[in-house]
Amino acid sequence: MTDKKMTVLRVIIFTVISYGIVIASTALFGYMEDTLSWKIFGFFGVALAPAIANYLTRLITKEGFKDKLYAANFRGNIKYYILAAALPVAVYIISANITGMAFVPDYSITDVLNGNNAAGIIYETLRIVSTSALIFPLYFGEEYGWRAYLTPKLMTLMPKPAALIVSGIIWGMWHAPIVYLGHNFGTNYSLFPYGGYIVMSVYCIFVGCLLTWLTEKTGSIYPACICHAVNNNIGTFMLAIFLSEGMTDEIYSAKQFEIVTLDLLPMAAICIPFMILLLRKRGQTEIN
Amino acid sequence: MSGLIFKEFYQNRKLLWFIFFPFLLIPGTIVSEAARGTSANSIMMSVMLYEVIIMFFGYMVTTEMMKYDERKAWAAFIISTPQAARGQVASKYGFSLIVLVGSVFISFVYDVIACAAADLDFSALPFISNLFFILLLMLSVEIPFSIRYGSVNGNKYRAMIVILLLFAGMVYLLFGDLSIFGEPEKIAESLIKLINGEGVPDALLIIMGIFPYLSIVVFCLSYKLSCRLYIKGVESFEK
Repeated sequence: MTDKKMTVLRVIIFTVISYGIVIASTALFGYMEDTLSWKIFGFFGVALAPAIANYLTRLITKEGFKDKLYAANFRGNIKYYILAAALPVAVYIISANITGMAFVPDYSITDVLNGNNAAGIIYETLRIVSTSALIFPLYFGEEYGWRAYLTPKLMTLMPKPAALIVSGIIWGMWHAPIVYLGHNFGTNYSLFPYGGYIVMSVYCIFVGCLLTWLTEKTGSIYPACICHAVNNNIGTFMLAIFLSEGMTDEIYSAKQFEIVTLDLLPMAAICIPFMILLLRKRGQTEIN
Repeated sequence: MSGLIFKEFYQNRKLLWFIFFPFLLIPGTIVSEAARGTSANSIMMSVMLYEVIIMFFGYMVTTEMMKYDERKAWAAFIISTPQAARGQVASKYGFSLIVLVGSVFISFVYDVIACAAADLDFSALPFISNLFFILLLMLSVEIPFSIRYGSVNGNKYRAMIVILLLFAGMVYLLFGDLSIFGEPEKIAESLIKLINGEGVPDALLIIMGIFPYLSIVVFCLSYKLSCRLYIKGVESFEK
């Protein structure tokens, strides 16, 4: 078998295994049902699925386990680690504010600050960032699959822009079973569930560019893990703070899809410069 | 570097099991407590206590790592390699960080399982995260001390901290408010309130928020200091 055919086979096996685990976990245990079985098998199964798929694919296709991305490479790369943790915080402060302006009647930032203790918000934000960075091994599960395996493999098969788009779509659609069960967007919207799939895939294409850029720049997947962890945890908190004054549960559940979509937009937009940087970079060492 | 870190794991492999043992044994006790109808606060207290044990074992592993390399022959060898003294010191810091982060993650897994088993809507993760940064700060002082004056003196430093803590505890027992010990549930409640920042003055809240980042900076500075102290420390080795 030629190298190209083998790579295609590896991508297919990887995708089937990572999709298989998430579909099986959600089908068997039901997403967000706070049962012990979901917590053990669903939660960790879903989170670790891409890493498991990476290992199994390497094992099945006898590819071996040589990988340069395990190293943290702190030297000279501390600024990228800081960027990975700080960027989502900065962006979600802006995006939650924009979302508040769009959806909360008579929205005022002064009301938000008066209604919440400013020191409390700062403390909670700093705490979420430090705690998210600490539980990065959970996000290692995803990044070790998407950034360390799928994206580099696709880059050998097609031009870089196409590889970034395809890996973003595969990553986005991987969320489909949990989006179908109400993850992020709920189930109460007219385009359900396809609207959710589309938004998630587009979002993943853009954020995937940022995470791939971080991985390429540092030669390590840990900054991407930290960025992913902070990104997932800070968004919900910021939204809860900035929508705390004037947003009722009824409005939120009726417009959850629109609110979340608007909240995700600035993060996707901020990834465009990183996409350009990633595509402009020539002659430098790529992942793997 | 990764080779040296692997060496640390190999040398400390027996001690590393101690982190996993509580993890393997403890969830059963939480489930039985829940089955007996113990109150939610008591179970939360147990969850936090067991996680402290896991973190404590992680910390103990990192404190034991220094003694294995205290030989002049090893020091001469490692200094002559391309890794040099900096690599040797970096491997100690890298190993400590991996073990402590690993302990946090094991605690987190345990936390998710135990709380789901007891049907609790609770996570001790913020508590564990604070504990991690306190231990990181303690290591930041202990490692350079052990590198400069040897692991025996490092143990003395640790003993001094324990004595200080015991002394503080005794002072509290003599003059402090003891009513809280009558109701262990209140300890859990006040700890959770403290971590959530409830009833904490604003200035203290900001300090609590900055503390994790400060401890990371101190840990990095401690590494730089240890690199400078390593050669001096080698001169004091007995063998």
